[in-house]
Formats: sequence, structure tokens, C-alpha cells
Amino acid sequence: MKPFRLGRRAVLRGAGSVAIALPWLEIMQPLKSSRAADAPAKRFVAVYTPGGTVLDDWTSSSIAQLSPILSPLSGVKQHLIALNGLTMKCAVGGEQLQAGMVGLLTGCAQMRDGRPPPNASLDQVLAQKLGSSVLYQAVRWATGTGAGEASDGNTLSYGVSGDAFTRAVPAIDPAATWQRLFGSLPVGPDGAWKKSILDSVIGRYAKLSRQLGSADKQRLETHMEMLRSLERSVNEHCFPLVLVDTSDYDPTAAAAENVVTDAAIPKVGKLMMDMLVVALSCDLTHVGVMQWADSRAAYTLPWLDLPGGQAQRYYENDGGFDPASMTKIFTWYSTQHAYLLQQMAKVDLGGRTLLDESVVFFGTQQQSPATHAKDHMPFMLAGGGGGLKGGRVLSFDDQSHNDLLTSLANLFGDTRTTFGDIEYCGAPLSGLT
Amino acid sequence: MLDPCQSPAPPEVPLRALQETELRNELSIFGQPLEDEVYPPAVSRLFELEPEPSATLPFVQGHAEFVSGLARRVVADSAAFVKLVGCEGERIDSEACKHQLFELVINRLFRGRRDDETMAELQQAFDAGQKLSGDVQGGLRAVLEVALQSPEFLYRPELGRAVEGRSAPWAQPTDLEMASRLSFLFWDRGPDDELLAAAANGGLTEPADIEAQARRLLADERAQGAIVRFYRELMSSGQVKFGPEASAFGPDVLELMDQEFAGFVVRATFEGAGDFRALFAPNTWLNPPLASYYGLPPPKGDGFGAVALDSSKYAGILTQPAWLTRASLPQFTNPSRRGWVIARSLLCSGIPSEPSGVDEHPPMPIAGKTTRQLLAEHNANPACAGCHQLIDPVGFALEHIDAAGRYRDDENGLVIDASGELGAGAGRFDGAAELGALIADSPEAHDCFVTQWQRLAFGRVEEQANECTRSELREQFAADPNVIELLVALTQTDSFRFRKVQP
Repeated sequence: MKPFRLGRRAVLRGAGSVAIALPWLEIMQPLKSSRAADAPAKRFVAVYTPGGTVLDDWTSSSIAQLSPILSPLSGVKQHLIALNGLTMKCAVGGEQLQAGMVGLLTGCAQMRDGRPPPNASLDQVLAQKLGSSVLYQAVRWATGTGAGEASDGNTLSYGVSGDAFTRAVPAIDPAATWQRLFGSLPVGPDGAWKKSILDSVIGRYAKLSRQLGSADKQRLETHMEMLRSLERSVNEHCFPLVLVDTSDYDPTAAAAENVVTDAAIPKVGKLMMDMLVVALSCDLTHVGVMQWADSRAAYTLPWLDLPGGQAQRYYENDGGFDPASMTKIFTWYSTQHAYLLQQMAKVDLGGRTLLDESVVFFGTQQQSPATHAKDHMPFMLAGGGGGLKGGRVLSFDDQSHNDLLTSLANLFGDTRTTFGDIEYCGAPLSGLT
Repeated sequence: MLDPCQSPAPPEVPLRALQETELRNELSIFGQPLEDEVYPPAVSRLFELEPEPSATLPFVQGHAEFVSGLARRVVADSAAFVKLVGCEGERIDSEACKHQLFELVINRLFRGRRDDETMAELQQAFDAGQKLSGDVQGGLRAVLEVALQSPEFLYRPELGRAVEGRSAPWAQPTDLEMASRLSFLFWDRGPDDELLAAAANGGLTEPADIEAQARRLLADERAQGAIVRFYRELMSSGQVKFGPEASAFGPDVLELMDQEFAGFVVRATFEGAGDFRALFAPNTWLNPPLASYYGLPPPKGDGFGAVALDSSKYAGILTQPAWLTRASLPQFTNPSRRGWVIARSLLCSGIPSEPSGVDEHPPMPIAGKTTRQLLAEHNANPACAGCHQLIDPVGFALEHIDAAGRYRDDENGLVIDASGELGAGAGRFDGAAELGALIADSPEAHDCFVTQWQRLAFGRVEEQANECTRSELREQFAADPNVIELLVALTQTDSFRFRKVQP
């Protein structure tokens, strides 16, 4: 991906004014400081891998000596914070596989009556905060999860809509997602046409807004800014992403141990990560959630050539749990995380990379596939958004992961002091920045 | 209290974006279905005094996509195109058809707003489109795409002009802008040829001329849609998401209930006395399947028709299932929600929406207890009681209409207590009919009704400058509670005829 021009960043910062209803020219000023490290983070990514980890093979005592499972991340370790010793207290109790899905980004216990938790998840909180100048408040997709209705078992994302609590189900069809994200934007052979139309339309807004009073003028300028952001998406740098053929992947079969579909998961996952990076760097969205499965993770990993046949048997304790295979699986996920971080680090947003402006949270729903324990959660952060400082291992003593959620929200300029169920909240984590 | 008309001020009239219904009506001339994801353009809650919603990026993008496809389809069908723009007998790539398309853009899409610069820009869009596509059709397509995304189409801009005899900040809309004010108010769409002609002849400045047009528009069938929309939004329970699919009856029944609601309010407005009291009269508008669903006598004939109801059980709009079922849960009623709609919409009692984070589900039914009894326990919490003691009693009055919209004598064998008091000293009631009679005679409800129409007409901005208009209208409505006359009177007020110069 080619680097962006510096000028584009200035324009984008202007577009952010839509969100806070300032006249957009007012904010078109030079960066306050050449070192914007303490500016709030701008983009949030949550990546979920199923099942937990093999703790002995995961825990790293220092970033210089990464554990076996984290070793694929050595090329990006300067961006990484491994978090040891956090407990997902809100997920203790509840359905053994699902409670961790519910709690991971909400900090809430799973409801006993099947309703979604009464709190928006971190991705949705941040989508509200970061999403008003972008096409999509957030993008969410998943590999290897059966379709169907949103449930505690297949989503991390929970919201409040009006006075109702909702679940946001991730998109699972890579081709349809590509089409939705990129298919309707002014790219390709139609680009010149769309650009020409948008130019004419923008001209009409400019003309009329000159004739109106200040309040009306501002409304039209807000609209005009949106047209401009559409026009910007014609930017050739933004759309080199080619849709790879995923016709061998049946998203609805991925939860059913379908060998052909399962074999396509690495390719689909890579496409989804690529789409995520492009969507974030082209300001189609500022928030992304990627799930490598649902809570059950019933897919096989044929490319890993695991002993004992096709099924990975993630969650079986008696007779099925095989730590060596588990370590192999979790190491493979680390390889995928490394790819995502490398891609984010490649995008130059004018002196800072996409990763510099982002906070990436890697999480899972339990510590151990065998025991479903919720202590010593194998969590990681990456990126430099909000002043996050990578290249470290931070150890905690049974501190609640709600405090992590609070701290992550704080990195985005959200000043809350608790996140999710208050009974699981202590003080925000220290030492992240 | 000071007389607000002592020193009248001109009303602020902020730029209004087309609302969903308006956009649908405006685009209907193309005969193309709209995409539900894109429209509505923004969520507007008419009676909650939220500021005008701004355009959203998904709408701007979705609309761009939609009009691109629409323009392509419209131009692809030559026969339909020449008919649409009115160049029958000519080829689509003729100069005459292009000219006619420009006329359609100016008159229909830009609502008569014509200037040399705009004509030149349409020509430029045409030229650019023709060049990029290589044919005249491409030029026509580009003109449509640009026009349908233009602010003159998506908004209702008013530049205004000076007022004779009044100095700034008093201003008034131009005659063309007045044409749009009238047609959007009464028809939910832009002006027709007659309004445009009246505007061109300077015939929309004098109050008498405006009144004549208002009466013409209100007498037209197109006014029914706007009337129905007003009442639908008035009685909507806002954010409730409980869809018909989850309820005890099918979506087909709900659709019939919507037709019933529309027929009822149209009849109450346009037939008979057409006064405020008619809104609470014991009749409705049914077809045989719906009548049989309710267990009510059918109307004459096979279609919808008026049906008189038992005046001890029914009270017009209060007992309309279209809103009562939506303000219910799938299996049982929600008196708090129902009461809130009435308190907010018909009594303007300033009850806030429920605090966020509260459990919006009323208690689950327990055998041997009525909904009212359960709710009474539920709302014993003093934090809730403040509001609930204001809204619940009104809702209890409607307990004889169940969650599926049917009249019930009892609640699973238990006696329904539908009695209560309409605010301190405002009268006691037992059941919907008595509540309806109280509201129909209530001066507060009359005033509220005026306020609600004013919100609709003036873009829901409640400001000091509209106070004079409000008091005038209230006086008039108190003297003659005829709804049509109220609407005509609206067009005669300062709030409707003038605007404040924006800095």
C-alpha cells in the first residue's frame, strides 16, 4: 500500500469536526505538537481467538524472550504489550464458553434470561465516539462461525439502541463484506464518472451555502464534508485491495467441521485482516472487531496437520485435550496477529503509522480450553494510540479485566473510571502509557 | 404573564432537510422503489423536540448510490423517459427532451428555483456526462444524478426577502418558498404547477392568497397523507422496537390496523364536524377481516367502511389498536408506555422518556394478578413513582384493549380496574370512553393539540417568537375546535408567513 499524502491527514482531521459540530475550518490548524503521543487514540481493533491458551507456553517473562506461543510476534514486539495476571471476573459463572464472549468487551456478566448485557461493549462505545465522520461506525466480521442469529455465543459486540439492548452479529461472508465495503464506492472503471458527479454536486452545495445564513450554511457544509469524504474514497491509494476467490469457503458451513471450508480459513482470515486494514486506513471506519471463531470454535484446522484426525477438539478435557496440539494452534493465531500488526505498521498516515494511531486488543474468552478458567487471561495489546507504549510485559496480581476496559476507553479520551458491571471494577490499570 | 404579542419577533426558520415521507413522495414521480436501508435519511422524532437531525454519511452515500441506479434505469427506458419529462413524440436524445428534463429538474426537483447559473450548471453536468459516457443518454443521466443530490432537492432552502413595512430581522419567504412551505405542510411534497404559477404571479404573499391555496391543498386527497402522518407520529411510541412479528398476531393484521387508523383520522378530520372531539368519538374504520378479528360488526360491503362502536367502550383515537398494540408487549399490555404516549402527545405534560438503562419490560404476568396490580408493585420504588404515577393511571384506562388490539371484558378472568384520575382535579374516569370525554373537553389538551401542529408546521423549534402565534392559535382553536380551520389559521400566523434573518 502506498503511503498517504500528508495533506490528506489535515483534511481528515477537518472531517472529524463533523462529530463535534465545530466549523470544520476552525480545526484545520497545524498539529498542536509534533509529538502527538498523548493525543487520544483514533482507531480501535479487537481481535478474538477462541479457546484461551496453554498458559505455560504463552506466558512471557520479558518482551525480549517471547514464549513459544508468542514467538511469531517477535518482529512486531516493539509494538506489543503482553498482559499477565488479569482475571475476567465478570465471566466467572455463566455459561462456560459464552460468559467470556459476553464479558470480554462489556465487562458484564452474562444475563441469565438470555437477554444481552445491559451495557454497550467497548467497540460500540468507541464506535459512537469515533464513528460520526466515517461510513461505518464499526466493522465486525468472523471466520469459522456459523451464521444465524446474534447470540451470546457468537458475538463480542453489544449495544444500546434507544432503550433496548442489542447484539451486533459479525459479518461472516467475506465476498459480501468486500462488496459492501468496497463495491459501492467510487472506484474502478466508474471512478471518473462518480468523481465528476460528486464534483458537480459539491459545487452546488458550495454555491448555495454562500447564500445562506451561518446556521444553515453550517448544515450544508456538514453535508458537503460527507460528499467530500465520498470523493476522497476515490483515492487510488485506498483501493488496491483485490477480492481473492473465496468460493471454496462456505461461511455457513464453517461451524460444522466442513473440511473444504475449513481449509480456506487462513485465506479468508487474511482477506478479512486486509479489509480491516484498508477500511481503517481509508477512514471507512475507525473501529473493527475480528473474530477467529465463535465461542464453540467447531472448525478443524486441517492446515496444521494435527494428530488425532480433523477435529481440533478445543474444549475437551477428558481424552480430548492435547496441550501440544493446542500450543500449535495458538502459535498459528500469533502468526496471524503478527501479520495484522505488520500490515497496520506499513500504512503511513503522514509521519505516523496506522498502528501508531491505533489500539489493538487481542483477547479470548477463557484462559484454558480444558478448564475454562478465567484467571491469568492471555491478553495482549498493541499499537501506540493514546500514548500506549509497546515492547513490554506487564504483570498484574488478579486485577479485574474490567479495569483494562476502563483503561482502554481512557486511551481514547473517554474519562470514565469504571467499565461494565461496577462490582468487578477497581482502579484503571497503571503503566500502559 | 406578559402578552407575547406585545412585541412580536420574527420566527427562526432553520434549514430543513426532507424527511423520509417527503423524500419518498418526491421520488415517487420516477416510479422506482426506494431502498429501505437508505431511507429514512435520518431518524427524526417529531414530537420530542430534538434538533433537526443532520444528514448522515451512510445516507449521503446510500442516496448517491440509489440515484445513480435510478438515473440509469430512468434513462434506459426511452418510452418512459419521454413520458416522464413530457417530450412525447421526440427522440430521447433530442434537444427537446433535454430541455424538458431541465424543466422537470427546475420545477419538480428544485421546486421552481430557477436561475441562470443553475441552468448553466445543469448544462455542464450534461456535457460532462455525455463526454464520459459517449452518448446523450449519459448526459441526461448525469443531470439527474446531480440534481437528485443537490441541496435544492434534499433540503428546503429559504433565502427570504425583505418585508414591506417591517425592518430586519423581519424577513419573509419568497413566493416560491411559500409555495414549498404550503405544499410540504399539507402534502408532504413539493408544490404542484398551480402553486408554482401562483408564486410566479406574486400570488403567495397576501394572507388571503395564502389562505385560498391552503384551503385548496387541504381539500385535495394528497392532504390525507400528511394528516395521517401527523397522527401516526403523534401516537407513536417512539423507540419501541417490539415488531409485529413477535406479537400474537401477524403483520397482516397490523397492516390492516394501520389502514384502520388512517381511515379513522381522515374521517375524523374531513367528515362531519371535523373537530377535536371527533377524535374521541366511538367509531372506527374496518374491513370485514379486521372486524372479524376484533369480533366487531363488519362495515357494509367488502372494503373498508365506517363502523359505529359501543360508546361505553371505545373512544376514537384512544382505542385505536394501531398504536395500542405497538405500545404493548407481544403477550400483554404496557400501561406505562400507553400512558406515556397520551401524556406526552395529547396532554403535553412534559414527561421525560424513561431514563436510560432501566428495564423497559413491565413485570412478567403472574397468575391471579392483573397487569395493573403487578405494575403497582413494580412501581412502588419511589425513584420510579414520580413519573409512573403520572402516566400509569392514564394507561390503565385503556386496559380493556388487550395487547393484540381486541376489547376484553376481563383480564384472564380477573376484574379490570380501568379507573383513575387525570391529574389533580382534572376529573376522574373509568375506562377509555370516560378518559376520552375528559380529554376532548380539556383546555390543556386543546392547547397541546395546537402546540403539536405548530411543532410539525414550524420544524419543531419552540422558541419565544412562536409564543404569540401559539396564543393566537389557541384562542382560535378554543373558539372553534375544527382541525381544518386550525390548519388554515396556522398559515395566517407570523410564524408561518415570516422568518428571521439569519446572521
